[in-house]
Amino acid sequence: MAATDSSEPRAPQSASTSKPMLELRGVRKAYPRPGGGKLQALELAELTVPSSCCCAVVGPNGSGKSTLLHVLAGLLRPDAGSVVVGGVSLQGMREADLDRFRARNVGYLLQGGQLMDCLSAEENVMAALHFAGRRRTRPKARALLEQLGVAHRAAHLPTALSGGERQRVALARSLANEPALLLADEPLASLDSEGATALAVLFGTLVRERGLTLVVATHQPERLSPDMVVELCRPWSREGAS
Amino acid sequence: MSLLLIAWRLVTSRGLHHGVSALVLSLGLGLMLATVAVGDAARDAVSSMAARYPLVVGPKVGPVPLVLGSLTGLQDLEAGTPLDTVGDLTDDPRVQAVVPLLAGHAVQGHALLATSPDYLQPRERFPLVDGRVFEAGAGDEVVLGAKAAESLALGVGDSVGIEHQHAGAPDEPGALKVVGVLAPTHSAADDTLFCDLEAIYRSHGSAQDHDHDHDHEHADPLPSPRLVSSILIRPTDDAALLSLQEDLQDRGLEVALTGQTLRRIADRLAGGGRLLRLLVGGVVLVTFLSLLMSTYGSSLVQGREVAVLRVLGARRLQVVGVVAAATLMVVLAGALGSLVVGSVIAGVAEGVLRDELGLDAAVSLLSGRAPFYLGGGLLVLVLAGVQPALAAYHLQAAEALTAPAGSGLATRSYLRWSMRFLVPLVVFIWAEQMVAEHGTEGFSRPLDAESSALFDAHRAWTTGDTPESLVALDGSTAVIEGYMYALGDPWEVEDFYLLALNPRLPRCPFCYRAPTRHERILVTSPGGVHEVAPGMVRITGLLTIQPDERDQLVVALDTFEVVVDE
Repeated sequence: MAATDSSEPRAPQSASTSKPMLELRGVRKAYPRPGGGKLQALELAELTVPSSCCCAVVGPNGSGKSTLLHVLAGLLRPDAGSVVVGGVSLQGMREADLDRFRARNVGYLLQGGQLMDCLSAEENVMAALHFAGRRRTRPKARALLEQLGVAHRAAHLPTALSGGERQRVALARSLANEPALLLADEPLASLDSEGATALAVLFGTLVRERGLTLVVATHQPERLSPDMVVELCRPWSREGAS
Repeated sequence: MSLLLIAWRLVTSRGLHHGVSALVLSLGLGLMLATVAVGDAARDAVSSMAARYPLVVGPKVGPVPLVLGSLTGLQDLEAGTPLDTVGDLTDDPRVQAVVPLLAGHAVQGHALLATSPDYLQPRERFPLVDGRVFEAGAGDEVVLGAKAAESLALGVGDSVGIEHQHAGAPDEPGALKVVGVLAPTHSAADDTLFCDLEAIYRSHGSAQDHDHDHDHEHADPLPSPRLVSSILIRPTDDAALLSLQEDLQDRGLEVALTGQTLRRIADRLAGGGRLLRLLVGGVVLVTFLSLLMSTYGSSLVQGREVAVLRVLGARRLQVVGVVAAATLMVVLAGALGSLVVGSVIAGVAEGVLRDELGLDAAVSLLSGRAPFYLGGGLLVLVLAGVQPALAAYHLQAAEALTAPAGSGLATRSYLRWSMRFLVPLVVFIWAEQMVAEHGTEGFSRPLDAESSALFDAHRAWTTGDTPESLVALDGSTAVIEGYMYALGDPWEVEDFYLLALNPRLPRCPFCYRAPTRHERILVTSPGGVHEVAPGMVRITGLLTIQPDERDQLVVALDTFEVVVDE
């Protein structure tokens, strides 16, 4: 698929359309090795994820799960292959356009939440709204925190929150831009059993009721009851490895 | 939510760390500013002091004690100069103003300086809050300095007695009547009383004449003829200054060129000054490195936060803005703090200069060279502060998100960029040292049109009908900071003087820098080496003058010809 030339990238198509949310073809990504050569981190021949689908990405450590999410978020450019998100090709898109596309259309729940420790819970969500181009960010942020049951912790710094609360604030932040695609990297890893179950239920609700497409890198796919599972293996090839 | 708020949160989240950084900047920059400002103020004070009275005449105690004793009161001077000299000088057409000084007396512990009313001129320098200045020849009038008036609780119309320099001597009751009180001048004058010489002479006359039934001695009677401690002289022009100096020396008096003597003192202190400048340079370097380390430490923490911002959709320039704003906030706080620190140090130094050296120096951080240093220092610090912003720009968010905690922006490129910013810092410190060493006038430069015109005017004034070919400068090769001329009648000279004249300050005797008296001049010419003996010396060629490493003027003898008429 040809690269999008417009400086204002199109938004991903809604769940009601028939086109898939994600289409990947021949995606490869390698990292330079400290000693020279390259380490192949991701090799994906083909992947199609329909809209309003919960897709679990599984695989051992080092199989490229996080790399795949970074590629889908536009944080990493693949060395080869094409990536289409909601009908919009990320290939060849300028970096500033990728940033804008991500800010407005993609939610990313980082591993461990990764809130900005210098900002309060509410300000973390407000920051996401700001970069998404939303105005009157405080009421919206407060509403999101209320929906996720952590409004009472709005003024607290992340260091004062429990693991579950941090994860909920992080989820509120990743949903702030009302994304069509939500990426989550090991969201259940830092939670206890009860918290993990609650979050899995919440994910299910988001997919079913809001038509969100969810791609989750996880070692616990059974908790999520995913619509599809993508299993990644460690790439066997080592280009130029010494 | 705005980028500035995020930047502010980045700063305040590590308040102690950034507070200490700002404090270090304040101290380093403030010390540098204060050093420069105090140096400028002291130099201006010396020039101002020398400008009022270029010549000081007194007993043979050496020029330094004579000048310090006469102008600052820091040195006690014996009364050893005949008062007749004052009269002679007053009648001399080469003299614009003569002020005799007679120290060594006091009123209840406050120094009493006997002089003439001219000493309290100009009026702007010695403003009166009440009354008037004592009249010339008035033997019963006194003017009080501000502090002295307050301490003695005296005002216009009150009377005071004079203490002589002998133990147990009682005051002469009602000897002097207060006719004026000075406004505070923030100088030694504030704690001094001023009266006419006649008051002291009368006092001594009465003291010697009075009944000696009491048990004290007159340890300091003033013998006849009447004497003064020293005489301040303002000649009509430079030529008058030098010829007066010669005449007075012939009369066996110590004659000191104020500007030269003060500069000699300054030169003696120059070693300490150079050390201080080196220390300040070191402080600036440490401050810069401290800021680098501070920003490096911040970047270790900020790396992941910058990556998170990128995940949220922040563009590279936006994260640059956030990180740069955070660093600039620290630098700005340091700059403001430096003005406070510099002002405090300057205030203290001002008092030390006044109380310890008798210099009436007005130290300002907003005039002279200090603003230049502030601007330069801020530029360097801003450059250092921009560094983490550049690192943030180049940050790969995906890598930073998966990297171990604390690795953030700390990459080899960070150190590489830091080293690049060391270059302007070193250049800045070098420039600072050069400016401090030579002044902005001190750098060699070709003779421009303005300087040529000044030189021509100065030459004509100095040498009168000197032929054009007598002294000339080679405009193409002269790289000097001043001009050279010979003094004599017109070229029959006993001694040969080289005087450097600051071109910015024409016809000002205090602008002479490092006057050098040459007892012997050896001239290298194609015919061999000749010694120019006292006698007829005629210079027909070109001159070049350059300062050597000690900032003394050196004549390039092989570039001009001297013809000695046998």
